[in-house]
Amino acid sequence: MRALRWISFMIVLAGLGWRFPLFHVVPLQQAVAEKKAATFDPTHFAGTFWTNRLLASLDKAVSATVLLPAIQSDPATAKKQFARSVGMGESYFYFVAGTGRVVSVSDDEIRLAVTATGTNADISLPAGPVFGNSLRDGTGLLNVSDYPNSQDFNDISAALNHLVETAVLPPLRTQAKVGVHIAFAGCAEVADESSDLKPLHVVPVMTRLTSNQ
Amino acid sequence: MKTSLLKVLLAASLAVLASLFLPAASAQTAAKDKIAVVVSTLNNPWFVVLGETAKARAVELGYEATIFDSQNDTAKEAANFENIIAGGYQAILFNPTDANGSIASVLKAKAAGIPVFCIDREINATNAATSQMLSDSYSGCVKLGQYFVKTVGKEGEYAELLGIVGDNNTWNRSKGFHSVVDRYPGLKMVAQQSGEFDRAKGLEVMESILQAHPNIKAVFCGNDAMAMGAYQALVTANKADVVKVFGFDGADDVVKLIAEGKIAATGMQFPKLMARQAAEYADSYVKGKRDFAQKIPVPVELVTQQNVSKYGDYGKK
Amino acid sequence: MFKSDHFKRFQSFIALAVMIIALSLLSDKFLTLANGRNILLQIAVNLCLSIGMTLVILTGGIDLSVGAILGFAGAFAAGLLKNGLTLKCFGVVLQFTPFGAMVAGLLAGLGLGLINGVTITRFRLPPFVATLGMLSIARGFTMLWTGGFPITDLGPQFGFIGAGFWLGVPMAVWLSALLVALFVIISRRTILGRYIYAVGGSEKAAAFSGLNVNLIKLWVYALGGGLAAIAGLIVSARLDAADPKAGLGYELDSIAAVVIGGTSLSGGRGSILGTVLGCLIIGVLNNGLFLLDVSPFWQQVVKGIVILIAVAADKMGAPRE
Repeated sequence: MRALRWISFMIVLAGLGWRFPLFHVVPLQQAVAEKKAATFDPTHFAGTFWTNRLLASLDKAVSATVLLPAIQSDPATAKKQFARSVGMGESYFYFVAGTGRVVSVSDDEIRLAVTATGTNADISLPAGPVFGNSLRDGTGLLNVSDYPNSQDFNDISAALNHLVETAVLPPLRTQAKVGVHIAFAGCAEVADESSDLKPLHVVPVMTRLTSNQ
Repeated sequence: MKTSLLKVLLAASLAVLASLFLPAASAQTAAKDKIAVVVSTLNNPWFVVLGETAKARAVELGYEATIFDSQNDTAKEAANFENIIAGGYQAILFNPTDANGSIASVLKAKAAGIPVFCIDREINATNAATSQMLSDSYSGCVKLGQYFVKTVGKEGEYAELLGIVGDNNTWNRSKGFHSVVDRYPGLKMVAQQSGEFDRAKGLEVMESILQAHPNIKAVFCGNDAMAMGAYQALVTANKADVVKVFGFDGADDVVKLIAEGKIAATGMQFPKLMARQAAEYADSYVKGKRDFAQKIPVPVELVTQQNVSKYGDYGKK
Repeated sequence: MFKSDHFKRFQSFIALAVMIIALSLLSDKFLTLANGRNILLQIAVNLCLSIGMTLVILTGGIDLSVGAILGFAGAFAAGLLKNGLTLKCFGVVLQFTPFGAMVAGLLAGLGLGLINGVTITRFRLPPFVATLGMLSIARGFTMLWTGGFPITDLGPQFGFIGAGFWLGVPMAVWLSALLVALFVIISRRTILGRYIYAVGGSEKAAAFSGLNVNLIKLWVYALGGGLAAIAGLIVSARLDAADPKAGLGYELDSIAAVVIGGTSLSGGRGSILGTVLGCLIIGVLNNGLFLLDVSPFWQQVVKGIVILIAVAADKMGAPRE
């Protein structure tokens, strides 16, 4: 009698479980693949953004031979004319391109003279790790309002910086010797006018050796 | 009989007590529009500043403003929103408790036709709030990390005090910092413990860390309250001039200690700027403006001994 | 004794009525349908916790772990729904349905409550200590399970018990009302209910008269855990997110409701309906202080004073021991 009760109870339970399933069994690989497809992939995004949009927009950069003298004569006017800023901060960005003569090379940076003379430099390119949001925010191609989670937006920044470190900097380091001329295009973030403008710290999207002299 | 009388008295005295807090002007307030300020917690002076500033600006603009405390609890926050919707408020100035957990509440307010302006923290949605002013902790800590490498050097042991482990900002800050510092293999993190964004807890944890790792050269703290606690621990251990302290927030006492050369640096967020701006946005919304940028990043600025004279009072002087 | 119980409940009722009258005079927003619904919705979670807490306190015990169990059950269910349960050794993932996740959350709560019961009855730990330990363990497991981050975007099916409506009344309110009805019947009309009062009245006497005191306690703590789990599911469903910090400090709110409702902390005396009144008083007070624009700092002071006065009134009414 008691066994019968148990059996009928189990049958009812099994029936309920069949009608209202508690879970579905999914193979692990399929679950992992679905999960991956659903999450934002900053590396992939940065790669396509880099080739399709960033490199295609280099002609929008202001020429260093125009920008640098403008900054020299009056930083505030130069800012008004050529800079773009994001949000409510006081920092701003220049998207700049030009050609300069290498005046010094160290572990951390490569200094160029575009309009400067002698051993003075007015542009600095990084030689080591690249940090910050210069490339992401400097061109105006990306807008934070399109990203529900700004952590994704920050990951784009890190991925872009990684591309600079792996694709742009290694050839630059081998080419950059004091005296050679290098063409560059990239973005500079200016936080504080007094320290950041001489030289202007540019994170490059592209660099090219133009002459050995 | 005596006791039931007591309870009646209790309720009556409660009513009297409540009426004491009721704005004396209940007669003249009839026409005034109301703005609600919802703050994630009032247990941290930084957020008190944020809330009070937003309220003060709203009052200046001619509104009646009330502060609601969510006590770091998304469920309490949801209750606040329900009360606000029932209470006939015109706008909500909102400091979310959680980027994801707060979305549902904002959507509820939106459905009721009340605009929500997020301050300091974002919600992970672009279709809910009218506008969001977000303090970019991650990028701020990238800058702080760069300065950390510059002042501490590329080699040595250091410790990190995390905030509350369940808090988004804890990880945004820690990840930003590590995105820089982890690139230098010579810098070794020998301890990473939670100080729960709390000064006393920060002190206690720092004391233990100093016992276990007497050779550390620096400590990175997820907020300024913990940085103050860590500094106190270093003073007691006679190590204040050996170990460099890095904080985050821009609290007044830390800015003061940076000026005295006792703390290395902090990231200045701008609670007053953001709070005032949010109140002004709400005002222009009530007056008819509708096109607001969805997300407005407010960069965090690095405060160091070189530029500390420019900062103070939760912002730029 | 029965008579004095009824009398007491009547007192809380008067206190509530006076508060409601006073608040409707002070604010024109108070006595509206929408606000009434708000209050009921806001107390739904505390009500679930407090029913379980009442049973525990009636046996002379206490349960400090309900807030932590709430957090764990909500996060556990949300995690199973969102990420499934990975069984590496079989190479499969069990992808839970919303219903399955809720059942699992409920079972998790019952299980943790049962562990409370076992440590109290078998290892003879005082309930205060046993549940304090569970508080910390459940919190820790919640953090491990979620990695410290909220689990979000649970979907409308899961959200139904928190955010859904039936006949214009939120599902959470229906659910809490159903639980109240169920446990009023259990506490008054069933053997278990009578035994709970007996154990709380005098554990020795109950044991001498042949009751299995330990079994009753096991049941009570398991039910407390299960009810906390339901509260956790409601919280997660309402927010469309399971926050690992959910339920922090809720045990205090629920003890306050039980105490204001006239249940004696020494056990054996009190009722579920009293607790319902206690929850209502706290809910109305919270809501009223909001509507009157009382500063959040003062709100906490006022709430504390009300708890003190309520217990003082209760003590004065009780026969001296």
